[in-house]
Amino acid sequence: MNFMCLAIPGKIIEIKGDTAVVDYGGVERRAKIIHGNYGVGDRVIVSNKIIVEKIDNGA
Amino acid sequence: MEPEIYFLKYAIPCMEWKAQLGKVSYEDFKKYRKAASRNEKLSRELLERIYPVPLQIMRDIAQETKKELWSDDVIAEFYLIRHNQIIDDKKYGYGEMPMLDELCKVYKAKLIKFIPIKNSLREPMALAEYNHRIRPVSIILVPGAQLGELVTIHQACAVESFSNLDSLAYKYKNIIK
Repeated sequence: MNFMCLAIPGKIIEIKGDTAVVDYGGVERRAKIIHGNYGVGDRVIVSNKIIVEKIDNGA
Repeated sequence: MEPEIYFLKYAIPCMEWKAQLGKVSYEDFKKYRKAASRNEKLSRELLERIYPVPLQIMRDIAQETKKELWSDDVIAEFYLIRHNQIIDDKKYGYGEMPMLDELCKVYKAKLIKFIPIKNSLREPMALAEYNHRIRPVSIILVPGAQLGELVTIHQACAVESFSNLDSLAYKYKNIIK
C-alpha cells in the first residue's frame, strides 16, 4: 500500500488550557489548540504540534 | 518559478505524514520543507523517488494533454484541477481513508487571522477559512501574505497566493473551489 497523503489520526485524552495530550495507540504527544472546540475523545489530526482538524469519530 | 520548485510546494505538506509513517526521516522532511520555503530546487530523480504516485498521475496528464511532464501547466492541472476529483473517485490509491479526504484536498481559502505562535518548525501560522470551515495553516510558503488574501491550502499549509497575477492559482481562480 502506498500511503499517499495519509495523516495519522490521534485521540485527545487530556486537555489543559490550550494544550491537548493526543494518544497514538499508546504513544502520547502534546499539541496546541489554536482554534475550534475540542474535547476528550475527539480524534484529531496534528501538524507540527498544532491541532489542525477534528475528524468524524464514526468515519 | 521552475517546475521542480512549484511541484515541491504543493507536494511538501504530504511529507509530514510520510515522516510520521517512517516513509522518510524527519530530518529529510525538515530539509525538504525548508527547500520549498526558500524556492530551492530538488532534483527530478529525488522528487520521483519521494512522490511516485503524484508523478505517475502527472505522467498520465502529460501524455493525455501532450504537455511536458515537468511543466507548471501539468503540475497545476493535477493539484488545482484534478486532485480533488481523484480523491473523490478513489483513483491511484487516494481516498482510502475518507475521514482524511478534506485534509488532503486542495482548496481556495481566505487568510482571516495571523496566529501569534509558531508551529514546531518555527513557521508563522494563520487561520484559513474555506467552505465555511477554519483551519490553522503554515504561511511559510506564502511570505508577505496579508489578511483577507486568497490562497490555496493543502493539508496544513498555504501554498500559493491568488494575489500574484503571474501565479497559476490566479489563472485558475474561477476553477478552484
